[in-house]
Amino acid sequence: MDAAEKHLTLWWLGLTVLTLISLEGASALGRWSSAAVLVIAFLKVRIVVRQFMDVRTAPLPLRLVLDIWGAAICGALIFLII
Amino acid sequence: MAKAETRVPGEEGIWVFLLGDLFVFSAFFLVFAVYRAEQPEVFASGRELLNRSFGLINTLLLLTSSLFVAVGVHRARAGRAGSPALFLCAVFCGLGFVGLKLTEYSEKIRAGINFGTSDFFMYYFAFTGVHLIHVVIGLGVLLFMRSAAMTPELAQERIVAVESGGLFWHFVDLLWIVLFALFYLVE
Repeated sequence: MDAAEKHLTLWWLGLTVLTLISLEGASALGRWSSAAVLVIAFLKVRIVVRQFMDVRTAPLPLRLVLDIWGAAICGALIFLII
Repeated sequence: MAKAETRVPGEEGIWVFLLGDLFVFSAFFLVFAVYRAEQPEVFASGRELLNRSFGLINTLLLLTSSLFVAVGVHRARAGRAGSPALFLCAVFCGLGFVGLKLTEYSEKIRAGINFGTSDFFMYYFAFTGVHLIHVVIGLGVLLFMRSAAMTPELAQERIVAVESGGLFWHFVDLLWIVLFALFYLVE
């Protein structure tokens, strides 16, 4: 296992921990739990996009499009759901 | 200071497809949220009937398959051995996802819950069904990637094809992350 593979495995571990937090821990936030669940979901999406899909090394326009999409959809969902 | 080199991973055409598909699923997510806001009790009671353990296990299966694919693509790029086996492991994770999803559907249908039960379940079956079709297509893509990666010395265009297949699989994972949150977790 080289450094890049270790790096990917650590991100996978982070994604797993975030999944478990969104399942159990987010409910501790009461009325903000749904917002927390959605923020965690889109944080996981960003990790998959940046680390697994290699968008971290992509040209700025592609990175921007995906970041703006994530922020806009996450914000809209929180606005509609809360 | 040298500027960090940037490149578009995979073929540019795959990004046109993925961004188009992302637009369609974004509409799905927003439609779900709009109807949820109109019928909070219906959606809350629908969510209570879903088995969160199935959703959790399927999420972990797809995340793990994404790790196998990311490491497999990295090895194919570096000309190192192991990619075909890693892609096969991802196929097994994907098959696990399909098996569990079908079990979940059949459990619901046996309990008398179907497409017409409520708006919640209409969207549940429709959106997770469209996603399941993506997973099945993705399994075919993973098998293609496995056979493409079997050649010891991969030509550049083959590496780009393997990368593009990997992007599609990660995209399937990404969609499920949001579907899991919306259907199973949001209270």
